[in-house]
Amino acid sequence: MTSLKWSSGELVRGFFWAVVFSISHCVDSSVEAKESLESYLFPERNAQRKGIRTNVLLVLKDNRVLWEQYAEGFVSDRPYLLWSMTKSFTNVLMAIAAQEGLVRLDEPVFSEKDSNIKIRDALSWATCLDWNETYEFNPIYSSVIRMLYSVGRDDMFSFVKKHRLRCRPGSSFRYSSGDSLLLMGHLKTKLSSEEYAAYPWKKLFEPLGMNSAVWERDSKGVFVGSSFLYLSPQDLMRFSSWLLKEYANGSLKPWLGATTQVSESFDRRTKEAGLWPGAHWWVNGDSRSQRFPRLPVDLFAALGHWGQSLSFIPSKGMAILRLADDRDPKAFDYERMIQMILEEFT
Amino acid sequence: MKVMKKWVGRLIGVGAIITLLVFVGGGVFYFLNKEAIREFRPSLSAFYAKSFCSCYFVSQRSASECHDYSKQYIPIDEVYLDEKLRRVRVRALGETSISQFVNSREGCWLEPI
Repeated sequence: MTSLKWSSGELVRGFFWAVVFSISHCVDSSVEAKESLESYLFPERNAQRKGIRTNVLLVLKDNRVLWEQYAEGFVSDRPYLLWSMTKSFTNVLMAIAAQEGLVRLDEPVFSEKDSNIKIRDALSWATCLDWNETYEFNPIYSSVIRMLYSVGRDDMFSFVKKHRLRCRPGSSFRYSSGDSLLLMGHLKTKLSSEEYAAYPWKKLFEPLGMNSAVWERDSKGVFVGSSFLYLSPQDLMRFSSWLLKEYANGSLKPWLGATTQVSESFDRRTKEAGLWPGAHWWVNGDSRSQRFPRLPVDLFAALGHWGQSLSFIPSKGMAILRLADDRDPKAFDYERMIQMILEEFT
Repeated sequence: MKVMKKWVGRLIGVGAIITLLVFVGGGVFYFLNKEAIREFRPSLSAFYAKSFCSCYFVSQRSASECHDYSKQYIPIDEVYLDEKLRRVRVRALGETSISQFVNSREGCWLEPI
């Protein structure tokens, strides 16, 4: 019963998940292993914002929450900023739009350039627009900072479209938040303003009971599909359960299967700190090669700024959410976290 | 004494040259990157205003947590939180940005430049 005592401590909040959590912990868990995971992910904070700063950790397996932990000030039912994890929600909305016949993968997102950029190119970050995706380390020449906070912020779709082409669309990977705005901007041209504003809620959030969703827009009303979606940890778990089901056997199975393959325009020899790019998802690899050979081959994830991730391992029926605020980019090791969780819960 | 004076003189000379180089170098850097710097300048206040607004009114975290969340390595000059009108005004790098909470679906947005 020691585990029950532990789970009723101050770290666990949210009555719904707490019940599930306690039951599952009575069955199978070693408190020690969790303590080491806890001390790795939730060390004491310092004023310099150094080290690992996890805000929320949730582990879901076979539709049950096995572990749930919050840093001080965080709760299960308030919406938190997902940063670039938003991009994978843009992927899912495009999947729904494609299923409804609103868009096709091979249609151009805009045709003002000599060579057309297709939806499929924007999804796999291969539009070949001359985009500079840097944040704190080279802010002056960053396209993404200009788009979100400066000259581009009032009309992000147009701002992205103004970038020149550096190669043939589809031929070369370069991560770009602008590509997500092309997708959400393009979707807006297919619907009336009211329909567009309601679309994510009507098609995704409301059917799944995700009532915490907040999605910010630019002055033209285009959803910031790259960066500004907010969801509560609870709703992220609802989404995760649904996504695992869709991936395994739902109507979105073909789309999710295809968009979680390593992007063909990506060179696997490139030094990437994290996972490899899929199409608005990040992936571990395939039978040919893997980014992290020690992690399951079918692992894919939504990744966001400052160490945030929502990872899926369909073969184990698992989803792992880490909301975080790591200002020290070298402190956190994604591979280590996933490994520790797998050792503990499988 | 004479030797010391000579050293002090040299030190001042070297200091003056370094200062001059820093100013000239900074001037050249500014001149070469003028357009980019002009376009970058609103970002700092805009980032702070928008991050704070969303942190406070969307995620409902405390004011001190939201200040900590919004600050970058370049400090800002002034921040004003209007709880009643649900808006945040920030001045930094000579630019002012205002972020306004719209509603519970749309969160915060930045007033146009």
